[in-house]
Amino acid sequence: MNELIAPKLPFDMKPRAREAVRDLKLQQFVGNATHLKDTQRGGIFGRDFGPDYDDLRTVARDTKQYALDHLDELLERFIENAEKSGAKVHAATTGREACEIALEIARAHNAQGRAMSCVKSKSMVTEEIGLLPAFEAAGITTLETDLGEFILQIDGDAPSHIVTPMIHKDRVATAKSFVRELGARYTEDPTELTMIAREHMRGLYRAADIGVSGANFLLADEGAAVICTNEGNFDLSVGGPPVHIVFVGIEKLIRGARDLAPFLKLLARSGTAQPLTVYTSFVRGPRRAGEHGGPKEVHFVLVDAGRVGVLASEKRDLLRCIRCGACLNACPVYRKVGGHSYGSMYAGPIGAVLTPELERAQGNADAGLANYADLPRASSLCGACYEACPVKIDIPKFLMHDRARLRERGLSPKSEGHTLKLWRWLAERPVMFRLAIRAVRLHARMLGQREKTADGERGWLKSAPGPGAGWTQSRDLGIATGESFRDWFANRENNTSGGGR
Amino acid sequence: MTARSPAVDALLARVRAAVRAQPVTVAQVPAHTVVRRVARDQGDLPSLFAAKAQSVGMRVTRVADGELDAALAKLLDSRGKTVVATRDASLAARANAAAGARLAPNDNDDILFDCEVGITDVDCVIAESGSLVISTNGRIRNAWITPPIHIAIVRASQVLPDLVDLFESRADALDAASTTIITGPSKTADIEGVLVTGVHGPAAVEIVLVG
Repeated sequence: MNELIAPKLPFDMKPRAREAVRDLKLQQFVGNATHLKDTQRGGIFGRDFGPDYDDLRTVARDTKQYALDHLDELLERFIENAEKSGAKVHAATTGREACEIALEIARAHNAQGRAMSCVKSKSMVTEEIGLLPAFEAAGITTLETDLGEFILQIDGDAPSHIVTPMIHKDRVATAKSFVRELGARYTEDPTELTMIAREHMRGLYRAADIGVSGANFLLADEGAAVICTNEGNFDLSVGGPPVHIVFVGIEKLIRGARDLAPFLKLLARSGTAQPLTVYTSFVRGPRRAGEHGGPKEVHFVLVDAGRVGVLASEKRDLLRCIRCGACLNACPVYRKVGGHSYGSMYAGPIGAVLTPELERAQGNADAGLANYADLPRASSLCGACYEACPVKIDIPKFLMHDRARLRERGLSPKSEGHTLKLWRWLAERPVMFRLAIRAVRLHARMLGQREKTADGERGWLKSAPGPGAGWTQSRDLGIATGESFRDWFANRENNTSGGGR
Repeated sequence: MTARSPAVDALLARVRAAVRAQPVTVAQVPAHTVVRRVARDQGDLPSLFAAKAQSVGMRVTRVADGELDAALAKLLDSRGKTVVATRDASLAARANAAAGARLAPNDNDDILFDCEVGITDVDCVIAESGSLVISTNGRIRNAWITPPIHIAIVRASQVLPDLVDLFESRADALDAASTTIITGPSKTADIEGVLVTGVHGPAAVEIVLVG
């Protein structure tokens, strides 16, 4: 598996984050793209739902939570209905088992032992279980058909965002890869590059033996999977090959189509500010008698890979996630450090809580957090992720929970404990607290720089002394200028004598 | 019926235990009233559908029933090989006539990659989002995906107000091996966020709205 999303454990986030923060091009791509998507998300919800937006999120939260609270019933119903439509349902406890099931299906279609090929649409769970390396090792040539994933594949790179996987790459890198790997002529034009990829893939769709996809939702009533794409690559990869395999985490289940509308209305708006993805496709079993096209066999591989453990834990809420990517776009930390800093296919705020939790639930009970000790701290706890989440997962709450657990196990840095002790000591002594604040302000003013601005004065520190040095490694530290709140509050009678604010 | 694998039963048993390990916090699925954006009794749904479909990048030509053949002929003018995949037999005859000599034989599954145009009818459309709903029931699968141009024939009577209505009152549209809700031409913005249409599916979706 790719080391970028399946790193050696314990994972050290800091070198990757440091490198990302110094990479000015990365800062620009990721910063601009996430800022734009975050703004557009606000715009489309404002336009289409206005004040009802919060109620819509509440409906989605409770609908998905209901599904998790009754997952055993729904799973049973799904299996029964999928089998009724002629699909075959498999279950895998681990990622390795899931890959084995797929290889077994492939072998059953290849008595002659010839070379096989697979067309695959974008799926996070297949990244998680390492399907691509498993297929390649078994001699099944596999094509990522999502344009972004395809470019990452030919570059040996890995996705850094749930929805826009190559957010960290630019057109120049793409142009070079296409010349090197596809023998294409050099062009930096995104339209031309896209058309080169299109032409490259069309023949491969026709020849493929197996189609593979993930799923955005599973419908228990219908025994169906719902797959959302913008490119149409899913429909092409399910339309041609005789066999289609859907890999899907069990948490994708909802009651049925009757509960689907809130999620479809939230998913694309949250992810890319579209009313719906261009294609929302339902797979309800193999082709029926008399039909033209479509797979003769449909397999659903239900993947646990830690999800059952999360379901049983106090972090059940995390399984509500519909992988829209809104929390990544909203997160000030993700915007600076990029997806690869999280050492997982699940980057950003949701990844910071989900990655250690899935690890813990897969049997590494104590190692889960210890292996990813940096992740719970990779947040300013500003709450932007919670505000952006269409199913209202309280990510900051879970980050705090993990920080507390790190501390209980002595996995927090010593400096954190000392700082908190000092703060507590000061906070309990008002006079000392006031003196300390004064001292800090005075120091900051002496060391810092200042300039006049239209509305007063701006001050900043280029490099902070002592324990603050880390903060100013990659950015300036703002300094409070003008009157302190305490002084203003004490003098407010005089300030407002003219009529009050 | 095939026997269920022991692994599936084992998963069910583990999920059952996991569900019980935490208290049920939501005992009932909430009412979805807030989800609906277009009321059932909203007037002039065809115009709303046309406007929304255009806003997501599809082109709409609105014609009276008598003008359909001429509209199809115009859209097909100077186009290449055409496949017709309609469930409505009378529409099929008219589309076949419009395609004329360009009509591809549709008796094998592999013709789609050679076609420039796919003509389909629809199960229904959604005014709220400007979406087409097309199932494999009675149609050559992917005739609306594989060729670079998709022409969809929609009757004004087929317009549903809201996505909610598809799931509440048109369960039949989902009772096919596969159904796709289409909201625009095939799109990607993977390379530096620049929007490109026609990456895998059609670059152009032409809707002929009849009536």
